[in-house]
Amino acid sequence: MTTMKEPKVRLLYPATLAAACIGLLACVIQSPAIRPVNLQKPPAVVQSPVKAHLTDGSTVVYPGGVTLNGKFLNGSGLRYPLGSGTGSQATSITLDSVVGMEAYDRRVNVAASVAATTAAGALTALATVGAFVAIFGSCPTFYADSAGVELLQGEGFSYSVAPLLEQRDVDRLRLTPTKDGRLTLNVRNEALETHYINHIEIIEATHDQEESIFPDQRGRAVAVSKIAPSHSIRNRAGEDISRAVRAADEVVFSSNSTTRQNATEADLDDWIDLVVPVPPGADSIAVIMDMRNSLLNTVLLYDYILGAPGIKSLDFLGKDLENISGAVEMAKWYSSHMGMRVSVLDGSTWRQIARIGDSGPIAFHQVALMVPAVRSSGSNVRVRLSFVADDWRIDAIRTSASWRRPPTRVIPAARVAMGDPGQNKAALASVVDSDEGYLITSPGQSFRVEFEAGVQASPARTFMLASQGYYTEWVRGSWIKAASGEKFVPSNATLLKAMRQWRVKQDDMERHFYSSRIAAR
Amino acid sequence: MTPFRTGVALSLLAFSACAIGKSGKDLAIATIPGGAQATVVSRGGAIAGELVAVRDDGVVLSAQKQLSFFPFASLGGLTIGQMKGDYKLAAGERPSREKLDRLRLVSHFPQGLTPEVERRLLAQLGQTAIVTVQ
Repeated sequence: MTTMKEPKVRLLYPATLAAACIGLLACVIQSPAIRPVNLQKPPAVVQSPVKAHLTDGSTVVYPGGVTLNGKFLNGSGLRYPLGSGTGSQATSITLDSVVGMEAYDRRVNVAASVAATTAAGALTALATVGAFVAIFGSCPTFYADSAGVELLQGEGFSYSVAPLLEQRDVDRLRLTPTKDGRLTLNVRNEALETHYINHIEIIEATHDQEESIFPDQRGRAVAVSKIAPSHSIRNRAGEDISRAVRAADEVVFSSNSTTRQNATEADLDDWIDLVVPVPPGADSIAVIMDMRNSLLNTVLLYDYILGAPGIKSLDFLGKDLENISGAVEMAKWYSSHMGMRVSVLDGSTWRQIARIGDSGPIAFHQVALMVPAVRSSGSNVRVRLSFVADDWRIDAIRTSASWRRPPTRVIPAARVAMGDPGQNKAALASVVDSDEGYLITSPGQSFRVEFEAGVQASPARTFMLASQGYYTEWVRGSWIKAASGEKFVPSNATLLKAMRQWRVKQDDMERHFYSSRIAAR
Repeated sequence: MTPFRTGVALSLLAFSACAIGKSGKDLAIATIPGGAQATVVSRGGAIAGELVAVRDDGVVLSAQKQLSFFPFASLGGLTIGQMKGDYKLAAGERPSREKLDRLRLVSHFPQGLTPEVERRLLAQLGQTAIVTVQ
């Protein structure tokens, strides 16, 4: 586990990034970045200029980058003997003779780039693209101790598979402080991914005993009381699904098999319609959801985005998604299809008022969707939750018109305990602020992070976890072997293929995925 | 949108798919074998030369046909050509580990001078030892 400084990448308003894709007028604000190349695990290809320092004191300059071919560096290079300014051709250098290499890359100022790109003609996209939440895969998992058993509390920045897609997630926690006011979370990397954790903090909300706290679709705390099942709740096929979503229990909603089978390129969606009676004077309601993603996203990532292109998927992760226009193109497509779109019936038209991003396939995520109380018939508000068929598993959907914004305070991380105590101080510095410092974990690694919540008898307190970062997926050997070589193209056709593939392999995949998470140490 | 912002937007339109600012490949040191051009301030004044190596306690420069060592303790300042403040040292500044690593990456020998390489460099310059400049 290491810490490192990386370019500051902060996307608290990812819709801005998504907006930037319209017209693909990408302006990148950049500055030089010089990075050492890890000779223990050298990359297969470096496309930026590289200098290799040899044991005899000579230097080889590769202005167009290098390719590692077995134990040889290949590229169009010039070798300069020690003290000489005259170089000779050096096309192939054995790695054994290299004592150090550095690459001359660039550091992208994402916030400024997005601002510039947006200014360059993409402003109108803001309203249409909606909130973008990044894409696919798994993510860091957060556990807390409860009577000696570690309980899953949430998963952080799900589906942020590249630096440009870094995002902040807010998860409601189910834990109480120790008697001396400490909160401890165990953060694990349980997948074949490298996690880059930028920031972890706790948000404390104080409230009355009869209120419950949830993050809303923007991650802000909402105190809700008088929570009740929806008056009427039906899926797209018209079936009453109230029993499945009445409470957080063993019964979970998933899309009707007919709806899944009937999906076409032109119509991929399932939806859930709610009828919510609203008292006079209420201007908005909270729709409280307890849900997680299915593995449909994971099929899309593993089989189509990374699997089908095989070795070329390294380019997608390392180059396309490091490029503003590539990332926003993907963001535009993703945000218009995945996640959940929330609409209210306004007259005879469904008006989209929010979009929530995918929250990951591991932990159930609780969110209070704040919906304007647009009455369409009498005192009822009609809400539609639309999503690609079978993208979600929903345990509970309940509603309330009684809510308020509670007082909150931020509790920063106080201590981090790594496997190697010598790393504790640097690790804490990496996660305590949203800045250029990242705590990096590899598969199977974990660490504990502790917060000083203090002792307080009343009023009641609920804690939420805010985490920010991104991760990179490890490209599996099996994907490369089985690759069709087909480049991933974001389209409804690809998504429909993924949905069909998901239907075929669902049972096996669920069994394998949930049993193959890598045990953290 | 204010006229200023409109102007900015219009001018940015001219830079569709643009890159603003330098990339690593734009740096002179990306395409030459040597280290970055550095300027150090010592008691004798400012001296410019090639940054040859960075040690924990100072920098080695090749300047005025001489290999010289400038200890951080007596350094009146250091700047690196084409690089911004992250690479600057103020008078008397003891660079952090992070800054040392950053400076090493723009030197001729980021991995440091081996005794053999140092001996050969000194021989090329007609020196027997690196001169320490206070």
